[in-house]
Parts: sequence; C-alpha cells; structure tokens
Amino acid sequence: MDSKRPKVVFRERSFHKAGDSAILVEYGDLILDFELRARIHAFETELQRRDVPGIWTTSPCIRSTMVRYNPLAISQTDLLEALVSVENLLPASMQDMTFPGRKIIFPIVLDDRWNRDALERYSRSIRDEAVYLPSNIEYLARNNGLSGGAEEALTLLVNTEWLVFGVGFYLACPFLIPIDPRCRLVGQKMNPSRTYTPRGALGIAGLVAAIYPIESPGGYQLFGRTLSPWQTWGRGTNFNPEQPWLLFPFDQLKFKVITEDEYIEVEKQFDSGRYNFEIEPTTFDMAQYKTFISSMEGDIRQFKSRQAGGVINEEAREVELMRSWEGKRQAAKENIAEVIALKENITESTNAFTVKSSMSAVVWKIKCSPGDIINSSEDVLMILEAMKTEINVEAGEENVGRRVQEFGRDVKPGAVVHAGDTLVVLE
Amino acid sequence: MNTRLQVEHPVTEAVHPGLDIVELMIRQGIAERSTPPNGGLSVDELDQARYGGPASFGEEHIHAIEARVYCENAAAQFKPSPGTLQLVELVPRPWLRIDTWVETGTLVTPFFDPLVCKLVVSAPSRPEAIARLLGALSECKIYGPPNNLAYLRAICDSETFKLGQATTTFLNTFTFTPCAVDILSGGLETTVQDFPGRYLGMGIPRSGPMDSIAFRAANILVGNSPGTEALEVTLLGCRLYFHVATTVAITGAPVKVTIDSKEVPMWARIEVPAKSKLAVGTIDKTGFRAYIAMRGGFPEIPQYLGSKSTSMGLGGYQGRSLTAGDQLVLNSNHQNNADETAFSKIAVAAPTYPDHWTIYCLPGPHCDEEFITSEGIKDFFSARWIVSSSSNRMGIRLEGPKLGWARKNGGEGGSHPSNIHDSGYAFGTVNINGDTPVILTNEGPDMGGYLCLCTVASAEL
Repeated sequence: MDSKRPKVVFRERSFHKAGDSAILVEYGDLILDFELRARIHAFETELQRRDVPGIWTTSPCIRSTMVRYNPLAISQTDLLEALVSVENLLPASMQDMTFPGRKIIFPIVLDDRWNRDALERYSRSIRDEAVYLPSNIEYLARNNGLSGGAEEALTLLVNTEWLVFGVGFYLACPFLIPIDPRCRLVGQKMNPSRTYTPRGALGIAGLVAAIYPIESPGGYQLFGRTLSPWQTWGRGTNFNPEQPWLLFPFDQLKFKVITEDEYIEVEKQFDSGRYNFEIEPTTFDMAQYKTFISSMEGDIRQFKSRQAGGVINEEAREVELMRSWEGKRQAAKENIAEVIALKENITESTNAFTVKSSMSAVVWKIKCSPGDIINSSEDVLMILEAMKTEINVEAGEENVGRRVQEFGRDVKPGAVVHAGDTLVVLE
Repeated sequence: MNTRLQVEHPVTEAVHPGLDIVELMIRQGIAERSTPPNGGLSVDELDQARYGGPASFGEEHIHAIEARVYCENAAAQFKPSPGTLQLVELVPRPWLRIDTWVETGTLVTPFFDPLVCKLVVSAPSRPEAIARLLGALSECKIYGPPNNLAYLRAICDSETFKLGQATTTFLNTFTFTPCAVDILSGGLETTVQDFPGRYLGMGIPRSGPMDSIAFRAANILVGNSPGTEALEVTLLGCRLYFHVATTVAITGAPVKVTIDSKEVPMWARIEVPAKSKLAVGTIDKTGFRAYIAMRGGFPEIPQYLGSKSTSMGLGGYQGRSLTAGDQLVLNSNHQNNADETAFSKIAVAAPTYPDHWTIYCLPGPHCDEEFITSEGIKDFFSARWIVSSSSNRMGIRLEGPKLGWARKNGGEGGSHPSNIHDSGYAFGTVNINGDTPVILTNEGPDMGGYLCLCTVASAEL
C-alpha cells in the first residue's frame, strides 16, 4: 500500500448494513486540503462514468461527498462495493491530475450598503455588541491579523480566484475557497444568526465563503454583494427552467469590483434574463497549484501565524462580549417574567373580551386601533411573526360587532408574546 | 394627435389583414407635424378598403372576437388578484392573435391594471369564431393568482352569447360558478404539497408532506393517485369554501372537522356539497399536521422543478402558505365522478399520534467516539427528548441533556465541538446544531458544518 494514499472512510448510515439511503465518503484528516478535494472530484468523475444504478445525486464538499441512493434500486452492500472499487481505481496521489472546469466572473460591490443595512438591523434587533460589530469586514481584518484593516481584507478577497468546493445547503448555494492560501481569511459565524441577509450577499464563516442565493437568514460575515448564482425562473443564457442554478463543483470564480449604481443596473439585467456572465473554460492543474504553493511557503507561514494571533485575540474578546450581552438579555427576561405575572393578574380581574395569542411569537404589525369595530370574523387585528412566518390574528366569529378597547400589556411591534397572552382587549 | 385608441382595435385589425391602427396613428402624427397647419395622411391612405378584407382570406366574411384576460377573481366581484404568474403557456394558432407582456415568472403588481393578455381569434363564421375562442381559452395556460379565463370560457359556452343576444346588461344576470375552493382562513401554515417532492440535490429541498402516510391515505380515499397534490394544515386548522360539490378526505393528527358546522369523520371519503364551508379546527391533542385531499387535485398549481410542493418561496400556490382570499382551482373532470370501487374509509391502518414517540434510527454518519464519548452516545440514545416549539418543516429541534463531547472544539470546522468542515447531510439525519439535536426534515438543508449523530430510518419519515 502506498503510504501517500489518504485514509478514506465510507460512513454508511448504519453499521448494521441495514440499507437506507445515503453513504458519506470522507477523506483524510479533519482539515481542508486541495489534494483531498481533488481526490473527491476524481472519485465523483469516475463514479459518474460508471453510471452505478440507484445513485440519484452526490453532494461533495470540503473533504467528503454524500452519496444519496435509492435503496429499492441498489443494496447498501452493493453500493459500498461499487464505491470502494471506484476509490481503488484512483492513483495514490493527485499531483499529476488536471480537472476541467469553468472560470466565471462575478461582479461585486465591496462593503455595500445593503449588507451594512442588514448588519445594522441585526445590531438593533438581535444583538448589539459582538466581536464582529459594528463592521464584519473590520472584524475579518483583526481576526486574520491584517495590519491594513478593512481595506487589506477586501483586497485579499478580490485578489484571489476561488474554487467551488460544494454546491448545496439551500438553492445551490456555492461553498467557495480562495485558491491563494494567503487570501484564506477565517471568521466565526454570527451567534445568534441574522434573520435577514440580502440576496447575492457574500460572506465568510470558518474558511468558507458563500453567496446567498436568495434573501434569507444567515450567520456568515458579510463583505460584499454580487449576483445570485440562482435564477428562480431560469431566465437568461446561463440558466434554464430545469436548471435555475449556475455553479458546479470545481468551477472557478473571480470577482470584478463594481459600484453600487452599476450593481443596481446589472441586477435589473439579471432579473430580466439579459445578464450574461463572462465564462471561459479552464482547468485546475494540481502540479501547477503545488508549484504555486511551494513558491510562497514563507509568505503562507507568515500569513498563518499572524492569522493565528488574530483569532486568539478576537476569540477572547468575543467571550467577554458574549458574556456581557447574555447578562443584559437575562435581565430583560426577568423583566418580562414580572410583566407576565402582572398580566395574568389583570386578565383575571377583568371580564373583558379578548383576543389571545395562540402561540409564542413576535408582534410584527398591529392592524387595528382602539375604537375600531370588528366587521367580520376574518378582520386581521394583528400580524405576528414566528417560525419565520407571518401569522394573521383574526377577530373570530364571536367578536363581530365588538369595539377594540386597547391592546394587551406591552403589545407593540417587536414585542414578544406567548401563547395565551392577551393581544387585543374588546369592549 | 389623438392618442385614444379603441379598446378592441385588434378586432378591426384582425378583419383587415395588414392594417395596423397604432402605426397609422403615429404616421398621422408625424404627417400633421411636418405639414402644418392642416397636414395629415391622405384620405386614400386612410381608406379601409386598402387593407385586406374577407377576400384576402378566401372567405366571404371574417368574424373576430377579442377576449381580455385579467388577473381578477370573477367569483369575488372581480377583485384584482396580483401575484406571480407561475406558468404562462400561450399556444400559437394561425387564427389567433396574442397580445401580451407576460411570461412565466412575471409579477403582476397591485399598482396597475391587471390585464395580462388579449386573445383575438378570427374565423369565417361567428359560431366558428366562438368555438376557436373557447379552444384558445382552454389551451392557453396562465397559472398563478385567480384570473378570468374560466369566466370567459363560461361566457363563450352560454346560449345567450352563442345566439348573439348578449347586450350590455347581459353580464348583470349572467351567473358564474368557478370550479374552485376559496380559502377563508389559512390558519398557521396551510400549504400545497405533493409526494415525493423534488429529488434534485443541489440544496433544493425535497419538500412534500411531513406526514407522508396520512397524506397518501387522504389521496387514496378520494380516488387520487397517492402522490397527488393536497393541502397540509398546521396546528391551527383552516376554513375553506367550496363553490362546487367535491370529494374530499381529511387525515393526519386528530382534529375536529365540520362541514357547515356539522362534524364529519376523519380518515373517510366525504362528499362536500356545493356552496358549503369546511372547517378544520385546532389540533389540540397530539400531532401537529392534518391533510386535506380533494378529488383530482389542483390542476392549476403548476409544477416547479418537477413538483407542486410549496418550498422556500417557490412552487405551490404563489410559493407561500394559503391565506384568506386565495382560490384553488379544482379538477372539473373529476367532480361528481367518484370511483365507487375506491376505499371509502381507513380504520385499522390509520396511524396513531401518541405524545411519546420511539423513533428508530440508524447510527451515523458521525456516531463515533472521535466526536462523542461512548458514554455520551449511550446517553443520547437513552435520553427522553422534547420537541421544541421552534420546530418547523425544516427541522424538528429537540430539547434535552447536554451532549458528551469527546473534543474540545471542532478544529478547523469551528470553535464548537459540533462543528465539522461543511459536509452533505442525509434526509432525516439528526444534525447536532451546537448542543441542540435537529432532525432535518422536508425543507431542511442538504449540506452544512455540523456533525450528524444518527439518521432516522426512511420508513419513519
């Protein structure tokens, strides 16, 4: 056995070989390594060529691929055998391999107003002190020991080409890694995460960058905005209705800096299907990559050592900031508990008709005012938000004809209500 | 120049091939401007006889009819119904002129007139023109919020219109009943789902019903194929109004179901009379979701990436859960046509919904002492876990004891021992999100940076 061959683990979903529907194939140690990722790509390429029945998709990412199969079409044992035999066909080392892919230019606005707005919302409504506030980009600079601050961080992020390691999570979100190791910035995930991130936002968590395909919650440290690699209706030459996504593993990305005004124009073109990404075929050459790496070993070592220092400092700061924020939150919770106790007393002491919350939620919008008369059982009095869903609070048949007197205690937009809390008091 | 244009100018143009009234108006404007004070096109140019008439068709007469398609609800005082057109398929015919600005994915906003297209047919005779219009209105598909295509078809089908006796007051007495169900209240989250949903990978959720056994049973009861699109109702029930008689079945968690306030059984085929209200109450005992299947499904919910399931703002009805005022078109071919040989009741095979569940899992992919101590693994499987109220279709969050981690942190994957380098997730896997186990369900992610301790057996999902 060649000692250079990395260890591979076929994590079946069962140690009992009772078939189910996925096997996770993991390579090497728990580290990010282009050699390992190249091996996964070679493995997948060969697996596709073999056309093993029953496999409906594979999801490669940093150091593994999830092979999903239909257990009615192939047994776990047979599939495992097929996977092992494919792995055995691969050369011990990837160093002479080249992998065809595409190079795609993505226009990017750095430190854009949309992401800044998302972060401002976050610090207003979710958490107001954290190591990554008030600027994610300045945090990235500190966390990676960059003396040049935000500007240096952004320069590094656009100076490198990026390799697509995986596509998935939600709506073909790409997981990107800088090809130049001197540009591999690291950052923690926001904790708790944001409830809002604009479509096309670019962020970093751990070593990985992602492009948010649609407006969504998220926790990555945001540094810019580009076009989405997802086009819901498949419009334009780069998409089609059966394949509304653009990127595949081993595609390469390069960012081209544009202004906010240019972005607004480009986004319009994108939505109407008139935007054409600049795409050219390319190959990822392992030998070339290795030469590139060894030519700058000193630089990489220096970058990594500064980065390690930055991470230690920032982690320590975050522990303090987290403690302080949790303390404030605890105090607020105790306040709420007192208020709830008060509220219970009030509802018991009055005989008013009320509309109560059927669940724990946040008051999103109040749609009635004191004095309003309920005209129909379907009148919406309030909109609550829970499970990332808006919930209409309807008046109900029994309240038709009654007049809105007041709102429940502390009920206002943004307030947290619990199941059974009075939302609206009726005369 | 006078920019007023007759509403039905395409009809004039249809009976005069080669005539373009808009072009003439523009040319008239140019001519007036270039030769003041009384300039304009010559009388000769404006002569209708210059443009083809019936003879150019080789016909004695040409009849043309224009139908204007609006996004408005004919069964609710023509209330404008803005929204996304999830499917637009306008089938070209030699005798059909289509004037439109919409395509699949077009958003009809509430800010403008909701006119989406004009269909103009021509034919040698009036009955033939009506037949062609009916054909065009039937084969052109505009799926999205309610529109007036069915209303226009009903007019074409009416004797008064066919006989040419329609006057300006005709519509005042014309009655139209849509083959549809209206949503009076959508409750917490009522969505259109089908089974098995989407199998594409790439982070496109599988979607489909959370309780696929109850879902399929409901379809079988009404005589549908088991995967047909139906409604998934969550916790707070929903209220529906049926314009037409429909065969339905309600399954899932035990809940009070009424038709016009009279209680009806679950797990049984039910005939809902026309013009009646069906109410599913609040699920207040055990379980969380109920299903309503309707015979023939919802033909005007289009497929998106191979499925009608609602997911991530895509598919289903406007990509969202149903709310008061929405309307679902029913399958007109299936009404009053229930297959008598089909099952009409499920008694013994109906699942039970206890408040304590034992869930069968397969260990892995990361059920390993490399990540969690052997004691921790044992504790995990022997603990009683409580379903958290923040669970949803993406995942069932579990509250319980802390996990016995074997590592201090996740190394390169992150600072928490549950972190790993991003990796694919299996459907139904128990993903450890920090210290919270989450069973990834129908809208769950298929990739991420947390380890997965065990995976629920497919038969349990």
